[in-house]
Amino acid sequence: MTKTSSGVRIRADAALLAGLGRFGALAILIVVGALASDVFLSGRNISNIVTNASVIIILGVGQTIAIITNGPDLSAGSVLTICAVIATLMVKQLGIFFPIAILAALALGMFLGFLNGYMIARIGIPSFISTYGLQWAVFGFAYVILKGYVIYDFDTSFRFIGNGYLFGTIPMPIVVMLLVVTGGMFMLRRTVVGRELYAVGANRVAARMSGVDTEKKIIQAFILSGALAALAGIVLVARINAVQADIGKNYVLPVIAAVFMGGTSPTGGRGTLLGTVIGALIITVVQNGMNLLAVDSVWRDAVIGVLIILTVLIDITMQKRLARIQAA
Amino acid sequence: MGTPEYLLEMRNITKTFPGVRALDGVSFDLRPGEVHVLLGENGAGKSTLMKVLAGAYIPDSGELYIDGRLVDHFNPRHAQSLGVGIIYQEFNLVPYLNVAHNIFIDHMPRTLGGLALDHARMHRDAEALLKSLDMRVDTRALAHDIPVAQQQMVEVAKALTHDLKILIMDEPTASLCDREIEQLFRTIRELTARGIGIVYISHRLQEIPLIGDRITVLRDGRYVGTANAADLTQERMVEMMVGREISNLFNRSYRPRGEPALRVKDLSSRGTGLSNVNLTVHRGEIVGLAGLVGSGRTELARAIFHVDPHETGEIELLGKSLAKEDPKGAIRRGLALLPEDRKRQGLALILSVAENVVMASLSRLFPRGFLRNRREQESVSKYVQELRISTPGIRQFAKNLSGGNQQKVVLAKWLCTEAEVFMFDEPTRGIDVGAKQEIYAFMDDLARQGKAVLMISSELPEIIGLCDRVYVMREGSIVAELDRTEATQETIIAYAMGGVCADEGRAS
Ligand SMILES: Nc1ncnc2c1ncn2[C@@H]1O[C@H](COP(=O)(O)OP(=O)(O)OP(=O)(O)O)[C@@H](O)[C@H]1O
Ligand SMILES: [Mg+2]
Repeated sequence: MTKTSSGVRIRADAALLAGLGRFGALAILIVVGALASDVFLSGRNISNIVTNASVIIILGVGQTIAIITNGPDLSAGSVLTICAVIATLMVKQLGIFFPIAILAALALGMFLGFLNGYMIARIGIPSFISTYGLQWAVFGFAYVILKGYVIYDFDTSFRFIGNGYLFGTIPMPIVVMLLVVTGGMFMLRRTVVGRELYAVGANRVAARMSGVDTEKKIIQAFILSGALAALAGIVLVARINAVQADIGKNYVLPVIAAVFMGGTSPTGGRGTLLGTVIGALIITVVQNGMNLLAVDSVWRDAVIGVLIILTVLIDITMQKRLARIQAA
Repeated sequence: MGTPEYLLEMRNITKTFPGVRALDGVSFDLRPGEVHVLLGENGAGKSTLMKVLAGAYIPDSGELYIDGRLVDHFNPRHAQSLGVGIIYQEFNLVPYLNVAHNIFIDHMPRTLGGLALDHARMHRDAEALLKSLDMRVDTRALAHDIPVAQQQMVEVAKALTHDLKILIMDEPTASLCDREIEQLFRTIRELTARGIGIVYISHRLQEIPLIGDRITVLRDGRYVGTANAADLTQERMVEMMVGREISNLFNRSYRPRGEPALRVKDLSSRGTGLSNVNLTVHRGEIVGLAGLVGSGRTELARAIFHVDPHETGEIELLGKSLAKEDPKGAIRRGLALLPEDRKRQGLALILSVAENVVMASLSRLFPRGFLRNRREQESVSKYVQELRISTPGIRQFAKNLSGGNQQKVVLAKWLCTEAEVFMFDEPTRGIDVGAKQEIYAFMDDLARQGKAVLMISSELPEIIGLCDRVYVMREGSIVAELDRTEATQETIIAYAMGGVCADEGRAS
């Protein structure tokens, strides 16, 4: 056996190739969008796309962390909703100073995340079931609180996080999203906690026997997911200036799709935030393109569905191709 | 054309992976009814060669003839249809299917015009098959629940449901006890009597003269030579494998022992059947824990490490009580346990070598919680070199390493903790002789540094050659404590089996 000293490069190659596939898919979609509509590449539209993607990406970071460690957090949409409802009720109805309302919403998100983590790690209910169950309970609460009403029209100070601009140029959702992604990347790649999250997802038994507090890590991962869902909720309502009880209903599945399109392994232990970001951009670009082209809304879900399958297919084909290259 | 007298001929097979030339022009053949042993160090290419034969890998170049006919495409189904069966190093049973279903997994008999599975027939056929091989396995038990030896029998039976001409066994005896090995050998003889050719891979050199007809040796992906088993001494086998002579496998520098490092008092646990275990390991000592498979050795180590709970008893580590803790606490306090089940408890296969090696040392290496690439690279490279882990780089995925090298990664993980007390559960399972010698030297070194080592092993030579003292376990209790001069193969076996008193054992 001949050895080379390029082990690092080899693994990078494999990841790179899979990443390139996704990146290529995004690039092709952008080219198609530019050809189909002349406003697509306008500065305004691009800023629009990224701003829209921001909420998905913020949720996606939490979801990626949950899936790497254990499994999907199906309650994220409901947590987003209840936290947005509570925060807006506090500022609008009770006149509470908005940063306190935001902190309260984050705390609530973390608490709900803790419940998820506790059910999964300490009681042993699979994440699919526990987070799905929690989702119904939390949505129920949101309906009870709002009784079908819509809360709308908030203070500009509260709305800044959703529709303000940093230095008058960069939309705040993008700023928040970039902070979340950077922080998440740093945690996953450069900290002991990040390593431990991957270890728990890759082999929980081995991780525990290596001194990783696996239950605590799972709880931490879901607390993070809950907190990020709350944050996404605040950014979202601050941006659209209204909240109703089903505001988060249609977010979870596209977010999970973005995570899988980004190459995160459904069985845990493997995944990157960069992939999730690209996955989320792909979904948003297509949604935006369909808006610009005024695609009939009945077709939109079908298009998104086909797209998700195609992207994952490309990913798998690339990996098979890679295996072939190794074999040939 | 191949030669008709051979079942199998492989000529000049080459196979590369990124950064690794796993096989470099290797030739191999097999006659009907013979057992052809494939020998080589960890990472020599044995499993890879067999995966080519079984259609799991496509070779870069070379020819493969089965029954004299050139095989022109490589996939597992095709290989199966040509009569090739393989029992992989890591078993391939579906854990939550029962034995009969596992045996017929890829062609379950059907009924109702192909609409439903014919369970009754499956069980009947499975039972008949197992009986024809003189095996006793409950066909309704889940694969997950039966002992490793029986899982192996199920693998053999599964291979036999096809028209089998060639059976590959990759380290079949690695986790079997002596009695089970005898049973396996009976099965092998039964198969060869039917004209089936067997390729047999093993690192347990002592068993090779008992079962092998011919031996082929690989080294670093290259063909070294082929000889009749009867013509090769063990020393010569080792020399061909390693490329040098290994004169002294066990090189122990015994020294006076230091203060007690690990003390277990009256430990009992109903769940795992441990009763009243007392044991002490001193600094500077290597203490063996011998006994039959299932005698409670692994359970004891797990209880000490607080993987499983125990009801009564005290554990004292370095003079302080190790009360209700978990593995994390145990590691913090300077204890290490290398588990016996590599795939389930030892390694995260989808993580890299480096991530695995530092997994148990994260808080020691990075006390501030931030990873430092340099630091990680230095620690990992040190063990990769010292244990001679053969990998193209420390970022290689663990699953791409050969079985023995994976075991070395687990070993590195625990050495990296720089613990004071090490418990090793079957540390040399699947490891080649050369590497064994290095690991033994490593353990001796640990003892010399004043650390304490408790070693569980089913390899008696290793227990006898290495240990200052030996505890023998039977049915959850320690039945004997022997010092170095008393610990002979016969005595240990006598105590482990029970019923026979030590002197009788020695006399026989
Ligand atoms: N899928 C793979 N990808 C990359 N490298 C591989 C892969 N499979 C095997 N290798 C490499 O090929 C070499 C030969 O491995 P192989 O598993 O054949 O060794 P082996 O002789 O069976 O060793 P052992 O006795 O440890 O089981 C090793 O260096 C291994 O790291
Ligand atoms: Mg092997």
